[in-house]
Amino acid sequence: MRRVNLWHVAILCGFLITHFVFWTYFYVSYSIEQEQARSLEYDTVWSSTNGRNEFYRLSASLNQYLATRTPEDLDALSVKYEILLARLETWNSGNFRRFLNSNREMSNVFSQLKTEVTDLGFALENISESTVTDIHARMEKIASKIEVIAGKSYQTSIERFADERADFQDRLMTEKRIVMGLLVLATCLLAVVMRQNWILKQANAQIAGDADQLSYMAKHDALTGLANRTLVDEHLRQAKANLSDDEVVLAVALDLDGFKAINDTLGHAGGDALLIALAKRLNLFVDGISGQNLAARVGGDEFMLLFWCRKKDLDCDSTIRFLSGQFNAPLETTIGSLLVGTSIGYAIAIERDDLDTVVLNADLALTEAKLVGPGTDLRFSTPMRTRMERRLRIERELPDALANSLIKPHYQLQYNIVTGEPIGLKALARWNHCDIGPVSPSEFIPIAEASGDVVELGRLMLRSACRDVQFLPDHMRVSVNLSMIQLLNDDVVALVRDTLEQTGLDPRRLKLEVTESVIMHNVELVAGVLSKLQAMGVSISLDDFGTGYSALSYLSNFKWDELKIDRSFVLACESSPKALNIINVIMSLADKMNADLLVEGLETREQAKTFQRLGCRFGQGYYFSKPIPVEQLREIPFNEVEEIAASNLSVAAHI
Amino acid sequence: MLRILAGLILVFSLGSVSVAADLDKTVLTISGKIGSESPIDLSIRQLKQLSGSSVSTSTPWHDGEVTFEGVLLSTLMNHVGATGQNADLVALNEYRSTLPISDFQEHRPLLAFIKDESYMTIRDKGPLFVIYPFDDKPELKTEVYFSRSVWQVRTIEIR
Repeated sequence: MRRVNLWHVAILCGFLITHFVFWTYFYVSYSIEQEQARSLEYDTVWSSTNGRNEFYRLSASLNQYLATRTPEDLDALSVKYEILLARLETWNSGNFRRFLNSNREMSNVFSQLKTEVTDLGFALENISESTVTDIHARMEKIASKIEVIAGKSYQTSIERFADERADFQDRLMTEKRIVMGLLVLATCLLAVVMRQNWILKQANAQIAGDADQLSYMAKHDALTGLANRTLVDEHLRQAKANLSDDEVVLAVALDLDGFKAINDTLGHAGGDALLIALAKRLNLFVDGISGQNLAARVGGDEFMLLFWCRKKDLDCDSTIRFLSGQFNAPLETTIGSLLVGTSIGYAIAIERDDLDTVVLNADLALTEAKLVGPGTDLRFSTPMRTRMERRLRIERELPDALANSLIKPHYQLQYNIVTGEPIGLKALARWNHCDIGPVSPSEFIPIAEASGDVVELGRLMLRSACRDVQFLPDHMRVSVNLSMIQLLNDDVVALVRDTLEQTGLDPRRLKLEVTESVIMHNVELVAGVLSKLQAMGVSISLDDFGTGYSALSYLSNFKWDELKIDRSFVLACESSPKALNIINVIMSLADKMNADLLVEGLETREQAKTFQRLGCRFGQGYYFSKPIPVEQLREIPFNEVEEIAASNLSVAAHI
Repeated sequence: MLRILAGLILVFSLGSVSVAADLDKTVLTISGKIGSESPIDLSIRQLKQLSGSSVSTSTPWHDGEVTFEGVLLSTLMNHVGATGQNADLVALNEYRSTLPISDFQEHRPLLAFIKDESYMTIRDKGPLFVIYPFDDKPELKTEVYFSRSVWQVRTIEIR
């Protein structure tokens, strides 16, 4: 671009300079002085011609007088002679003199002519027969000189004219060349301008192309080439503006089951290959149904299909069946065939107003479908919305509930199931909402984990538990859950230490529980934090043992003080003798690890008896005690409780 | 010596036949579309009686600036009651030139009979000489106006 500009300037300068030269030349070469000089040149020729005529008139007058000898003719002769003298005067001055001066020979001829004409005057004064011959001779000489001067004047003029014509032609050529130069420069300028124009057009086209590409990129997923959420929204806006009565929009939210695991095992390249293959299949599927349909990728493994069809062309349920049928066949990817399951949620918009929520509803249906389990298809229904709204409300009001201590711990007693003696408490968060009633921890804790409020919740629970347990006999300990987020937050050690100090609780009376999923998240980090807590004298318990992977690595990597057998085992033991064997193994494992074993979820006498027989020492559950608020807890006379429990168990043992 | 004396006599005698010295001799005849039926003859003296004018200018036929006195042609035309468009001027040497009457108002040419305070003889291109004010109006220095600068004017015919 810079070079082009330089060219521009150079050619423009050339153009201007040539213009300047041309006009300067034009004005200089056509000056008025030259015109006048040429006019005077013309006058010289005219004057010499007239002088010649005047001489011949004198000659004629002379002959006339010689023939008649009358005084009138003498007068006329005299006048003619005077006229000739006047002519010589003219020749002797002004312009004609300059012409004569330019040529020495002419100057001499003129001097002689003047003398001869003067002498002729004398001769004419006395005309007689004897002088006629002399006069004629004089006239001859004068005639020849006048002819010489007139001829020379004419010739000089012609030569001057020829010179001027040559000069004129030269000038004409020069002018032509300048004009040609101007034309060439103008052509160059035009060429440069056209080139510039072309470059601009190219740039414009490129910008337009870039804009198109950017627009495409803004509306499409880079990996799969499917539409993205922006285009989904645009499609919906168009539908909102144009949906007719006989048309319907079906929104299908689709999510791969276990995509994270696929990514983990095959790597991201494998995951990407799977997504690309899936995108292709979804595109084919969408194109196979008549209507303005769209397949979009709206998240990592989340897809949204929009079908904008005529009602008679679309049977929603069979379309969904057909769609989920697509995943029965393996996907051909660049890394091989992969079989992958999907969860599907879908919603239908029959009227334009439904279009505002149709995608949201499909997403909701998908969320519910995923809760049900892999490979589920669910159509949106209104209760889903109600549940979502409840969840949103909980999410919204949770911080306030924490700040105002609306969430409080309830305590479930833990027992020595052999002796029936209460040995400790499990602190459980309880929220009795003023409008919607009791909210289960299984409902609000995942929400608190997602929002980060779980940190504050944990702090509240820990502080309350540490305070409340001190109302009970000294041998009783209290268990509090530690969430993943608390553990990843490195001030949990300080929090526990400060809380113990502030409440004055003996660290040996505090038990902190973590789940398998927490320790699995980052074994080294979590084990490090737990070790520090253990070093303070706090016991560490593994909660829900047996529900997850129960990997031996983290069992052996950390010295657990207690393992808590999950309630699912309690139920399993009722029906399956094999479960009893597993319990035996776990008991032996706990024994080897030097950890206590506590059974959760003992709800019936039979269950209690079963685990008692197996040799388990500790348990908790509704059979022994429901979670109760601290106020009720304080009212329990613990010596009596022990007796009751012991009698219950002894009775059971007898059965 | 005799020859010189004779020359002087000749000059005198030739001067005596010239019109310059004789102020009452008819030097100009005006005819054509004028106030009177018959042509009007005018002498230098009669011309002098009209309001005079003068112009100083250089010409192609004289060296340096020359001062002419005479009567403006426009004045003369008024005097004779000319009504035509053109004036045909004829000189003693038969030279002929047509001047548009409009020139007389526009460029104010002079019908001169005095050059540098002397009456012009035929030898001085007299007795009457049409002079345009060339120096005052340089655009007049062209063949067109040189050709209209008639000397030794004898007759004017108004057409």
